[in-house]
Amino acid sequence: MAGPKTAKLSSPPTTTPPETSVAVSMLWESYMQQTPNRLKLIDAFLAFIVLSGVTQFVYCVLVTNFPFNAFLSGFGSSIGQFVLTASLRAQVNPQNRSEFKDVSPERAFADFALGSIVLHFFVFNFLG
Amino acid sequence: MPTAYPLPKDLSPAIVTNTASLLRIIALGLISGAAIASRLFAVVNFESIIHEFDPWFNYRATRVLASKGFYEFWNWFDPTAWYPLGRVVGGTIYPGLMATSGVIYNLLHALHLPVDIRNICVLLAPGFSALTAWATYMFTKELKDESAGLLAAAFIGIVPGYISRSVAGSYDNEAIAIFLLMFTFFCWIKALKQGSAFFGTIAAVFYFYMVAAWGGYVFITNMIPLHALVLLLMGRFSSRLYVAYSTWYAIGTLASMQVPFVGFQPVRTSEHMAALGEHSSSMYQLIFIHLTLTGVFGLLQIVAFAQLVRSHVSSKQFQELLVSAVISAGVMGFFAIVALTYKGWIAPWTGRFYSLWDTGYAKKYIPIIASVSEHQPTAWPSFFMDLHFLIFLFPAGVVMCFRALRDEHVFVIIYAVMASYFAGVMVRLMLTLTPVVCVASAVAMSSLLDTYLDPKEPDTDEQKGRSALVGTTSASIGTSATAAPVAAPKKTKKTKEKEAPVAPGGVLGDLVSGVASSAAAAVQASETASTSKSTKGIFGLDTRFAVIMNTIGLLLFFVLHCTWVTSSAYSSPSVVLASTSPDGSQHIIDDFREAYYWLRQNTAEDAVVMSWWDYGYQIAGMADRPTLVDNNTWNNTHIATVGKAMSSPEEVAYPILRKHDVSYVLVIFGGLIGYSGDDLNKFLWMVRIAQGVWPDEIQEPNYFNKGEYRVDDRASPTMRESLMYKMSYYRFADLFGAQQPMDRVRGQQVPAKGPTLDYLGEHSVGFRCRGNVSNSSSADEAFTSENWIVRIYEVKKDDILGRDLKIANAFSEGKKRKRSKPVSRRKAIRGW
Amino acid sequence: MIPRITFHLSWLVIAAGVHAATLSLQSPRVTISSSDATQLLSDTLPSIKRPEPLTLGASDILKLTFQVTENGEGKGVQPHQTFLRFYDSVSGEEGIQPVRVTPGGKAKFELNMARPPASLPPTTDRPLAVSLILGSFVHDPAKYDLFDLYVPTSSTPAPHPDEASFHVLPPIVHTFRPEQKLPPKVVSIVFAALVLSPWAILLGLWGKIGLSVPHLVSPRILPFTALLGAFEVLLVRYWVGLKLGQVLLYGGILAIPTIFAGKTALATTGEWRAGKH
Repeated sequence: MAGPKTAKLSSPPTTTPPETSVAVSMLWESYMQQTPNRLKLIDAFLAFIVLSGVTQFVYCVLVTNFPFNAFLSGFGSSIGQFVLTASLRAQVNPQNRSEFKDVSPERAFADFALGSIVLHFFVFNFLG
Repeated sequence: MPTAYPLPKDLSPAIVTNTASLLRIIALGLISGAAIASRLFAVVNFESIIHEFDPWFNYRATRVLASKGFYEFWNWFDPTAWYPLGRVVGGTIYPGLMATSGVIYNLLHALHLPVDIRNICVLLAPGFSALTAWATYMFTKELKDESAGLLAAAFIGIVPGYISRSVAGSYDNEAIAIFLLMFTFFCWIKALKQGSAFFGTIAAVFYFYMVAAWGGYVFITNMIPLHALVLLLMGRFSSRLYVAYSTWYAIGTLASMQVPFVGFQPVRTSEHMAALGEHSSSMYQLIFIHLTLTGVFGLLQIVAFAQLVRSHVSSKQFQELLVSAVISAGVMGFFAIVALTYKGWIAPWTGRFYSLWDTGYAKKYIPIIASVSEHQPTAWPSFFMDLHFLIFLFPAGVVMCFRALRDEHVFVIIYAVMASYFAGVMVRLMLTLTPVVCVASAVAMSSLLDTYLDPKEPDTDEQKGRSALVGTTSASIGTSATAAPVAAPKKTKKTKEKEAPVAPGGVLGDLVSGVASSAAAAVQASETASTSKSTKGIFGLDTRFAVIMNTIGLLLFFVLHCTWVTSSAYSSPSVVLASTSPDGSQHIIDDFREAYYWLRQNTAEDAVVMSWWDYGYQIAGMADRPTLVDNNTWNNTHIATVGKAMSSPEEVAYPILRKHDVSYVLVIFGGLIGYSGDDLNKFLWMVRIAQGVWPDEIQEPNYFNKGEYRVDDRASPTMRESLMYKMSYYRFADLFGAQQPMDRVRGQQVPAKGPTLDYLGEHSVGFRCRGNVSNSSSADEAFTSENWIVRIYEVKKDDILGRDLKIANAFSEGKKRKRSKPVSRRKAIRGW
Repeated sequence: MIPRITFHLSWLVIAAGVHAATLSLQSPRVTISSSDATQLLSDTLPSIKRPEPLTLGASDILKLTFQVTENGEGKGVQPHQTFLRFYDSVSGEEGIQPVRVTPGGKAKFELNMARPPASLPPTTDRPLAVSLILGSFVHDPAKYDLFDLYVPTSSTPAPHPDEASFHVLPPIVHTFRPEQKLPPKVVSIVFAALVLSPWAILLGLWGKIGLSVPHLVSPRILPFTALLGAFEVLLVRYWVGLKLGQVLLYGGILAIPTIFAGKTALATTGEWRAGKH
């Protein structure tokens, strides 16, 4: 979830004092250094979901929402998948180990798979 | 460690745990059995029959589902309801209940168990009550421990507040909804505790089931975001909260949109829904709730992201980032709101927005809602009636939750506050209060029992040592001194204990609060004793014995009360009535079915029956005839039309009846045997609802005589002319011969010369002895049931000579027609 | 009523056949006088030619006298029914006024415009055709067009309360919401490409980070991923054409091996992870 939002956050600093941009660049560096690779994989996936969700929304606003069911299920699947993936990320993040005592990374993936299947079921049911 | 009673020493921990779990399973099984069995009074006392009103529709819909399949049912358009409008059933119901029965039906038939669909419907509610007990056990187990869970399960299994909606035959949405409610809450708590996406998903799936099953799903939609929000405000954000809430929200919201009746509501304000009367204020609540729902979701995303950022930068930089992000978000949000308001997509500050805070709004302005007795505020005695001593233990349990105050306890506290408020507003919402009362009471009672069953004696050795230091020799002084704080509340309790069985209602409150406070003190004592070596605690067997006996006594009274209430108050099908003769024998009054079967057997299949809306579902279900209005109450004008017809004189009502193709009019009349739920007692609501649409023609004061609602000689002329009055008392006086006829519901003497009917036909089959039974093909054949509860009139067709029916009747009775001068159509022009 | 009429008619026909007698008017005379009894007009109505239209003032009195005779002979007869009919042929309004006839066949009718009888229909500036209708059991029915009569205009009659329901209703026209249209193909294609473009970004990012799945084809992992894939295929099939019940059934069946495969696969990865750390 870091990727796109960081990019978005970096736009206001152009007008705000340079301290903020320094902070942002430090944030980016620290992220690149500290985050394990498998989390980066997940982050990349999250970025992908956000982008596709945003483009769908833009299409809905700019062009048409005509097959409203299709839009909703597409957008809903973006949100749902994002959330599930973010949850997976939170659960497998070694820093959060203490918070998730009952959830091992494998269990987290199994939950993720189940949640995705249920989500996709509703998405396809709603697609029309 | 000294113990109050000897404990067996040579048991391995494995044996203890295994035995405990076996006992738990047995206890749960027994609780389920008790829950099911106590709901079968209705079947034992009467028969396996669908109860009341709404269940008849559910039953009818289920039959369609079972016989024609799911997709047929989904697209079912019912032309016989709301004649001539019809009703799109698939899109206007919560299909969860019917789908559940359908699945069970098909499953049993796949196993070659040819169970009748009626029996499945009748027994669905008791079956699900066993599941509710189990779900409550799981929920309370998360809150405290297994023993509290078992207590909660036992409470919810037999508490009248829940039984009232789930006896056998009460085939209504609530029958399965409470199980879904409790199980969703359990999954939510579990998901929150573990941070598990699995339980979040399960919670979402059961939330979907709930949405498909009951309009009360709004309660879940309300509770979970509120809980998340409160946790957030308490500074208890955690990744677990993020995982649980996000998973539930994302899947649950998408899933809830699959139900056509709910549809796009979560994302779109559908104004046309606001016109549906009953739903208007709840619609706004709904929108508001969904706003909260989404708001909390967005908030959680932001907070989670902020947490992530914080983990990567120093606190100072984080603050800078936060400030710039908040400013930019604020500016963007402001522009977004301005843009949306400008575009007219949202209108946040209209007056109707405020109506959602006023729960009495709908009641005040929409008579059809106020006319339903379920929507009245709850009376105090009904709290005791429905919950017995749990209502007194409930606050103690909430206090216990405050003491522990983990995330799940916060949930119970919010639930308790919300449900208490809503239960006070409306009787029917007692149902949502009941589970939390059971849970909280179980927590309180189990704490009490834990304290007093715990064999551990307070650590007197320490005390001795300390007192030795001080220099006193007697340990007993120390003992009595330390026991004093515990003994103090106990003393007051003991005095009251003896009174308790005598007057369980009044004294019980004090008693229980005393118990609760002492229990709270005791828990505190035992907790602190283990840590700081304080020596508060329970000494000896006598105190233990007294408290335990008292508690068992309470539980026994509870069971007695539940059984009594269930058997006497909540197990009547209301389709079949029972009366007790002076010698104690039971007499079954089966007028409703008698009349409905008469309709089914003797009338044309497309004969439209007009009745007040209460009986619409029953007529459709039992008589299988089209009705003008039914319990769906979606079209206020249509109901008002029926109200107008009922409250107008015959001449005015007749064209209305003819224009709606009405063939039969059905009224409920209890005046003969004293059945108080009859139409004359509901009549003022008909007048009010009709007045709402035709204020010029129908006016409520006209039906009163000097402010009194009378049906005797002093009834107002409008009242006496009204169709309802005439249909109720038509030939009623004949029953009494020379005596003065007496209405036993209203306790008034009706005029000896009863009203006459010109436009409706009547024929009393109930009086076979009088020998005026004509065969059913005659034109104005109609029906009055054995005890006169149901009276059916046939609407006469137009006179074949084109005369007004009143004149035709007068003619056939041999009365001389008053000669009237023909009126000239010629009108001279004035001013010539 | 209808059968009675037919009966009478047939009876009349028989009577006419037997007697072949007709009724005729003798010396019909019309007089118009004003309210102060001054005679404005007095005239014998010609039996063949239609007379000039008469005009009646707002307070004038019209008197009509005649005698009914059989076959034009002097002997007067009393017909069973005698009516004067006022008829406006344009508006269709008519009024029927019974006239009393003495046994000698003499009759006198008076129309006082100051107090018109109820049978007088509403009138416009058009004349009313006045005719005399005679009915008898023993004679042929007779009808005589007497004259046209101008009477003062009355106000137009109020329409009958049920008048509206005796007209053809206008056809019901349904207004449908306009059919929503798909955007032009070009726009669709552009946006489809746009919505699909994140895939490229995803693959690019993964490539940059270095996506490696060393155990993908391991026999312990493969069944799990394959079964997950099967679930997705099932859901796509649901969209394409399967019924809800079928999907739930197949999904339930599919779930059982998936659970076992998942357990094995995840336990294996757990071991690898434990070994790694």
